[in-house]
Amino acid sequence: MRFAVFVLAAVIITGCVSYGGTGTPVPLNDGKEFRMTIFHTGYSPSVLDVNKGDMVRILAVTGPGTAAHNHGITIDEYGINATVTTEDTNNPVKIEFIADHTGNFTIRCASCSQGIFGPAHPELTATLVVK
Amino acid sequence: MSLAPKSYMIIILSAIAAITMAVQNAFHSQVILIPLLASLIDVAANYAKLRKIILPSSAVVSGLLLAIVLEPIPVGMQAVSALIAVLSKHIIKWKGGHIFNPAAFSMVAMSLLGVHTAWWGASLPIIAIGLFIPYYQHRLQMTAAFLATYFAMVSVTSFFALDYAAVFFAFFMLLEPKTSPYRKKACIMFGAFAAIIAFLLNPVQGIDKFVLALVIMNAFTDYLNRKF
Repeated sequence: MRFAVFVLAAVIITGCVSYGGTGTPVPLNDGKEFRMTIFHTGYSPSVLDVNKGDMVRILAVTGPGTAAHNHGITIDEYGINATVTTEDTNNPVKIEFIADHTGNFTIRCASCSQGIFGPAHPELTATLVVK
Repeated sequence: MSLAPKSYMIIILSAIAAITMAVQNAFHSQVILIPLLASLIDVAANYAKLRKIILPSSAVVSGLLLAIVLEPIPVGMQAVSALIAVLSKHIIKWKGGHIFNPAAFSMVAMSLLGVHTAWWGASLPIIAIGLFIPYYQHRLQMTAAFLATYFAMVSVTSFFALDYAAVFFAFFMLLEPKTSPYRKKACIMFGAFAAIIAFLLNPVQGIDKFVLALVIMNAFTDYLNRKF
C-alpha cells in the first residue's frame, strides 16, 4: 500500500514537471506577442499583461480535439470577436490590436455558444491587463 | 448471447471512439494505449493483493472513458492518467469499496497537471446507442434526473441546446455501479445534485464541471444509500 501511494505521488509530481506550462509573451519592437491555446475549460495563458500603446498580437489555436467546440476570443471593449477552430500551431488565427486604453478587460468566448455544446459550453474567461 | 454490462460498455465505447475518429479523419493512440495500460496496471495490482489474475474489464472501461474525454495527449501522460485511475480504485476505499469513479478521479487529477478535457468522442452517434447503458443497468432514473435538471437550469439562463458532453456524461459516467447509489430515490437525488453542481461550476476555469461534480457526488454515495 505504501509503495502504491509513493508511486502515485511520484507520478503526479513527475507529470507536473513534465507537462503543461504556459507560454511567455514574445517581446516585439512595439509591443508583445502571445501564443494562446483555448481549451474546453479555459484559456492558456489566462492573463495577458501589456502596456498602454503596445501593439498586441495574439496567435491563437484551439486545444487538441476541440475543433468542433467553435472556441473564440472576444474582447468587447476593443471590438475583437474572432472564432478559433484551427488546432494547427503552425497556422494559428492572428489577432492584432493597439492597447490604447488602460484597465482590466475580460476576454471571453462568444462563439462557443455556436459550437457542439451550445450555450452549455463552460464559460471561458481570461483577462487583458493594460497598464 | 448474454454479455455482462461492462462488456456492452466496452463494445459501445469502442464503437463511439472508432466512429468519431473515422468521421474526424484522425487517429488518437490513447484509445488503444490508455485501456491497455490501465488493464496491465489493474492486473498487476490485483495480483499483488490477491495472487490471482482478475480480468480487468472495469479498467478497460475507465481507460476508454479517459481516452474519449481527455484531449489527445502524449504517451507518457496517457500512462499517468491510467495509473491514477487504477490506483485510485485500489487505494481510496471506504467500507471495502472504492469511493470515486476511477475515470472521473483521474480526469480531475489530470486537470491539475495541465491536461484538459475535450469530450472529442461526445458526438451525435452516442445519443442513439448510449441510451442502452442506463436502461440495461436499471439506472434510467439517475440519467433522467441528471439530464432533466441540467437542461432545465441551462434553459433558464439561455435557450435550450443539446450539450453532447452532458449526454455522454449521463449515459456513460454518472451511473458507474460501484460508486453511485443503488436505491431508486438515492439515484434520483444523485443525478439531480450532480446536475446542480455541474451547472454551478460552469464559470470555474481549468477543471471540468461534469467530472468534478461526479467526484463530489461520489463522496456522498454511501450517505444517499443510507438516507433514501
